[in-house]
Amino acid sequence: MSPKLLEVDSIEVFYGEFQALFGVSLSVDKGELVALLGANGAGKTTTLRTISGILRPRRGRIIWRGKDITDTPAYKRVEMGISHVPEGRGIFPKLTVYENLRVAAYTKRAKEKFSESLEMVYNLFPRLRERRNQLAGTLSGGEQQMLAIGRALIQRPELLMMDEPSLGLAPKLAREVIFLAKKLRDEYGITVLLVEQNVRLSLKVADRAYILETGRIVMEGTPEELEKNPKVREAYLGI
Amino acid sequence: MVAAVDLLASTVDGILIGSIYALVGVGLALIWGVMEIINFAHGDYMMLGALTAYFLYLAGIDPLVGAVAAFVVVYALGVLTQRAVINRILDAPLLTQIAVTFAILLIIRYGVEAAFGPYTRRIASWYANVYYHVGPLTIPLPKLIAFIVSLLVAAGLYIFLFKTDTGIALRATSQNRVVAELMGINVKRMYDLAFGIGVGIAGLAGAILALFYPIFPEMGAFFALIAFIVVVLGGFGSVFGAYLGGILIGVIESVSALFVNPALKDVVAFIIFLLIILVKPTGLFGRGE
Repeated sequence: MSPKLLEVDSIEVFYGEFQALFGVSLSVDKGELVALLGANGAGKTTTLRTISGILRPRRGRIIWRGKDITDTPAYKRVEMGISHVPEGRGIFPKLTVYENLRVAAYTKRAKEKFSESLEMVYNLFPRLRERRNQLAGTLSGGEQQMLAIGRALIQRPELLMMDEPSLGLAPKLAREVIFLAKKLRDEYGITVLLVEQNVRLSLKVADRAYILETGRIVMEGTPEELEKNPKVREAYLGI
Repeated sequence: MVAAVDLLASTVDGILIGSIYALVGVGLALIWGVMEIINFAHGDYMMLGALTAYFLYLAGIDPLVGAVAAFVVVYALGVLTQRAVINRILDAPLLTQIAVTFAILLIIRYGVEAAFGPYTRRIASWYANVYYHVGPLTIPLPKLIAFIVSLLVAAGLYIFLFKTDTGIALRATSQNRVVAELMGINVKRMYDLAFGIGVGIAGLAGAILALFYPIFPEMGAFFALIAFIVVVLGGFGSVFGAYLGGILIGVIESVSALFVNPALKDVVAFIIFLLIILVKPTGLFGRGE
């Protein structure tokens, strides 16, 4: 059996003395769309940041294509195909839209295909083409989210991790951005790990989901399984 | 009454000397902008550049070639400093950072004095005493050369920061170092570049200043002070704001010498600086955060 694309093996992550994750394990297979769900402060962002290498676990391992990358710096993980759309989008406000996209092609992996990727992103988000020479800080929230996702696509990821892409967006846009995750998987073959608070919508697009509570995975399963679970219905779906 | 021709001559002279202040300030602004480190030793890297050009001049190398070498030598020393020291204090408290860069200042300044003596040295290039007469103005060639070199460096820096992948990555790093890392940028490498280029430009400024200015171990003190003013005036972290700030300080200094005792010309510049900062705390070209 070939190894999973990504395996997170019982990671424990601390901020100083404060422990945020208590042995979180999860895996993502090639071609899957996996959702990581939970309330504010459950540790979703910490999990993503540990996978992308911004944070180091005190214990546990991150395995990428069967290889231990726990000690690999974040910038090298991008070259390996792991892209992370950070919480709050993290666009560079004083770079233009085009410069934001260009800087995403900093890796060798992305640079070779930059013009092709740029065309793809502009076609996916025509707004970005119109505003390419505008400073990114002047974009609306929805446009900034498009830019943040566009930047990740420029990186030519194998695994795209999106941290609460719907946060702060109007309901219609929030829905669009979550369905975009599915479109990217279905049409572009990108494996997606989606972190969301919007459980209802995320379960509509995901193949599998994990539920994180105060630093521990408390449930996992297919959307059908989770939707039937009385605890999930009460705590996350409000039924 | 001040004659118009004197005013013009002072303004031109101010622009020429201001172009040196501008370069020193630009380097400081670059380091601050990317790393949020206040480099107190900045003027001493400038002195190292001047000294490099001087020793090469003694070996028979033209000071202009020496200026390029000064950039390379000081750049390398900057990268060395970055890796050995600055990288370890990036997240340290502000006072620690200040103490550390101040220690670097002392090591460089008095290390040079101990090694080469406290002497004042001069570069006597073939063009040291060439003057151009333009209408009523007399322009010394060394200052004109300094001005042209300064403009070329500024243009080169602009092209680097705005037109190259590495330059855009450097600007991205200055705006958000965590996200820069997520773009695949090796942020430590960007810090090497920022510190190296920042002090390298100061070194180059020192070398071209030495075309018409004496070289001595403490020469950096005054220029570092000017550089701080220039950076604040330009809007902290704005590289090209610092450039214009440098020219402005040069002109204020030079023109005010017509009206007050020349010994007070720097005082006037500092007073005007304080007034500007009172009215616009983000600096002339800063937009605040």
